[in-house]
Amino acid sequence: MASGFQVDSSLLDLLNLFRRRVAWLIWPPVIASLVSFLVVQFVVAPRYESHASILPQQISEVTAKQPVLERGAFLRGFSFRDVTTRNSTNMELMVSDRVRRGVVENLDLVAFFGTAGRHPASAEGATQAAMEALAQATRFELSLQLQVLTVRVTTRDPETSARIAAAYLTQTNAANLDRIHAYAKQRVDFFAERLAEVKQQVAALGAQIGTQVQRSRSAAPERELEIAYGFLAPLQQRLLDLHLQQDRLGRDQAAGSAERLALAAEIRVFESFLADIDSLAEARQGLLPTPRNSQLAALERAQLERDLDLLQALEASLLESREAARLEAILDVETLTILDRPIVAAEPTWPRKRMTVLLASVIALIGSAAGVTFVDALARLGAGSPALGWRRLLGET
Amino acid sequence: MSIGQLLLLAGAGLGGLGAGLLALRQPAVLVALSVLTISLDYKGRLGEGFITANNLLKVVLIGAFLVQMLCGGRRLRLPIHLIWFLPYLVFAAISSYYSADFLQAGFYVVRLTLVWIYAVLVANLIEREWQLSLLLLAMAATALFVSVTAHMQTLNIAALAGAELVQKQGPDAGSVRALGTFWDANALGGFLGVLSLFLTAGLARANLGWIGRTAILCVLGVAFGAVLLSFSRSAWLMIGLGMLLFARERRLRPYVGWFLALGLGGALYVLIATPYGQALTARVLSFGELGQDYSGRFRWYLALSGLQIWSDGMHWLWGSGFHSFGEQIWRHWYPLATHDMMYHSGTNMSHTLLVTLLAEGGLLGVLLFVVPFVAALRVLGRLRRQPHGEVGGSVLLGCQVVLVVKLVDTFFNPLMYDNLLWLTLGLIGAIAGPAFSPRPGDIGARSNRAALPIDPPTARC
Repeated sequence: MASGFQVDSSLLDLLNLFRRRVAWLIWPPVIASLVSFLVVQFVVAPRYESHASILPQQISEVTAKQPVLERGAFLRGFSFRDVTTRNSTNMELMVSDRVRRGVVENLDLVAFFGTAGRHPASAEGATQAAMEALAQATRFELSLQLQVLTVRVTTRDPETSARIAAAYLTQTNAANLDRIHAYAKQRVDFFAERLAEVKQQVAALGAQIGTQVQRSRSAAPERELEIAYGFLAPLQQRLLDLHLQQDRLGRDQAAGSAERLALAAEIRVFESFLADIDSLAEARQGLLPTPRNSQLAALERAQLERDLDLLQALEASLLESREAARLEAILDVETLTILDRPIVAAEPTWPRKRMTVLLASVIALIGSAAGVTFVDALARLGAGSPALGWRRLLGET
Repeated sequence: MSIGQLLLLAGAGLGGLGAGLLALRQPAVLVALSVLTISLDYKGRLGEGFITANNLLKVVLIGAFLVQMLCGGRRLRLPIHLIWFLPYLVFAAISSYYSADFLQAGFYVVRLTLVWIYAVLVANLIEREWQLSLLLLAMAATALFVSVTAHMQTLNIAALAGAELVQKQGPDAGSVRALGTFWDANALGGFLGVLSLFLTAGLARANLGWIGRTAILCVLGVAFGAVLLSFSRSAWLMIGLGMLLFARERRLRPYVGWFLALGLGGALYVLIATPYGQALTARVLSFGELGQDYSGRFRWYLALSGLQIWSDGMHWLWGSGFHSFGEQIWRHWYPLATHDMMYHSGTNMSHTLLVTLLAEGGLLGVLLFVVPFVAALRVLGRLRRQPHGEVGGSVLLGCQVVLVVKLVDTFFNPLMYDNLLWLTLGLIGAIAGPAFSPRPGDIGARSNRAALPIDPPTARC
C-alpha cells in the first residue's frame, strides 16, 4: 500500500518484490565479485607495506655512560645538558627534502620508481620526481599522546618498502646528529671564548691579591713614623727652650718689646711645625699593624680570594662544559628509540583479495536492494507507474 | 574458563535473551534504551570497536523486527524522506568502487545502511504516545546520567589536578574539558544539546503537571551546566539557536525567563563553584575571534582543502569516491595535512559535511544527500499544520528544532552517522505514520485519545 507520505509493505510484499527483481539482486553482486576478483588478481599490482615506530631519545641518557673529563679527572656519571629529540622535530626532518633526498640517493630510488625515463635530460629532475614518488609512498602517523611516530612505506616491492623505512630512520638519525653536532660546535666556540676571558680575569685577580699581600708586609709606615718622631724630639726641646726664654723676658723689665715679639713669632713657627709633624705622625700611626687594621686587611684579602675561587670554579665549569660539548660534537649516538624495526612483509597490504571481493558483492547487494526498493516505492506511489510515482514524489517533496 | 567468565557469559546470555523477549513484546522499549546506549558507545568496546551495547541493541531490534514481520504480520513502512535516501545509498555504493580507499568506503556504505535501517526501525516501532513518553523519559534519564558524570569529572579534575592547572591550561586543553561518557568533549556537548532540545520541547505539553515541569527544568539545568563545562562552542550554538526557535512557539514563551535563568545559573555555577570561571570567560570571548584560533583555523583549512579536492579531483559532478576524503587530502596536502587530520580531527572527513560530500560525491552526491533532508523538512512543515496528541506534538516540535540546528551544525561538524540525527529522522517518520495521523473526525483535536491509532500488530510467536 502506498500513501502520499509513505510506502507500506508486508514481508510477503517484500519477498514478492525481491522475487520479481531477483535478477537485480543476484547479477550485480555476482558481476561485482567477478570483476573485483579479476581486477585484484590481474590488474592491480600488489602493494607491500613496511613500517617503523620510534620514540624520541634522551641524549643525556646515552652520553652519561661515557667517560668524560671533569676537573682534570676521568669520572663517570657526568650529566650533559639534556639534548632531547622530539618526534615533532623528527617528523619535520623526515618530510624534509634533505632526508628524502638522502633516502632516494642511498637506495637508488630513481631507478626503482623509474623516474629517469621521465626526465632523461636532467638527473636533478629525475631525483626530484623520485622524491615526489617517495612522498606519495610514505605516510607518517604521530600520536601526540603516546609520542610514538610511525613511518609507513608502501611500494610494489616488500624488500624495498622495508629498506626505505629503515633508510628513513638512518637518515633522520643522521640529520638529528648533524643538528646536534652543529649546535655542540657552537657551544664549544662559545665556551672557549668565555674560558679565555675568565682566565684573564683569574690572572688579574691573582695579581691584585699578590700586591695586597706585599703591601701589607711592607715597613714604610713605621720608618716614616720613626723619621717623624726623630724630628719631633729636638723640635719639642727647642720649643720648650723658647717658652723658658719667653718667661725670662717677661720677668726682665729691661728687655725690649722687639725682642719679645721676635721670640713670640719664633714660638708660633715652631708650634705650627710641631702640629704638622703631629698630624703626620697621627696619620702614619693609622697605618701601623694594629689589631683593627690587620682584620680589615684580612677581610679584604679573603674577599679577593673568594672572588678568585669563584672565578676558578667558573673556569673549571667552563672547561667541563667545553669538554662535554667537544665530546657531544663528535659522538655518534642514537637519537631515536626504535620500537618497531621495519620487516619485509610476507603478504601484500593491497589488494586484500577475499575482503575486496566479499565487500564488492555486499556493496553491490546493498546498492541493488536500495535501487529495487526505490523503484518499487516509485511504482507504488504512482499506482503502478514509476514515472507517475516519480512526479508524485517530487510533488510531495 | 574461569567461574567469573562463565558468570559473565551467563549474564550476557540472560541479558540478550531478556532483550530479545522484550524486543518481541515491546520493541519500543529497546528504541528508548538505544538512547542510553548511545552515550555508552565510547565505553566498553569489543572487537575492533564495532561490538558496542548500542550496536548489539540495534542487531536485536533488527532481528525482532524481522521475526515480527514473519510471524506477527507486521508491515514495513518507509516514510518519504527515508525513501529519498535510497538514491544516495545507491550512489554511495557505486561511488565506493572508484573511491581511492575502497575497503574503507565499503565499510562506510555498510555503516550508512545500518543507520538508515535504524531510522526505519524507529519510524516503524514507535506507534503510540506512551512510547514517545518513554523515549522522552529515557532522554531525560540519559541526560541526567551523562551530565552528572560530566560534573563529577570536572570536579575531580579540579580536585586532583588543582585549580591552578585548570586555569593555566584553559578550555583548549582537552584534559580539563568535561567528557562525560564520551571520548570527545564536543561529542558530549552535541549529545546533551540534542537531548536538551527534545526535553525543552517536552515543556510544550499542555497536560504536563508541575512535577513534570520541575523535573524537566531540573534536568535541563544540570544538562546546561554540563554543556558549559564541555566548552563545546558548537553545542552552545546549537542550544542557543534551538532556544531562539523555541521562543517562536507560543506555548514555550512563558519558559523563556526560565531558560535564561537556567543558563545564567549554569554560568554562575561554573564561575563560582568550579575553577573553570576564567576558562569559561575566555571561551565565550573566543567567539569574537572564531576562525583565528587553532580549531577555527583547522576547520577553515579542511574546508578549503575539500573545495580544492572537489575542483581538481576526479570529477566535479560525481566526485572522487565515497569516503575518499582522507586519501585525497593526503595526496593534495602531503604530508602534514594527513597528520593533522588524523590526529586532531580524529576523522577522515572535513569538519564541514557539505564540503566532504562535495569532495567525495561531487554536485550529484550533495544533491542526492540534501534531498532527504529537504523532504524531511517538508514533511515536518506539513505535520505541524495537522493536529497531534500532546506528546506527539511536542516531539514533533523537538524534531523540527533538532533537525534545523543539526543542519546548521553540519557546517562545523561531520554528522553523517550521528545516531541522534537518524533517531530524529526516524521519529519524524514515526509521527508521520498512520498511528499518529488524525482521523477524519479529529481535526483540531489535541488530546492523546484523539491521536491514538488502531492497535498495532504484536508478535504472535
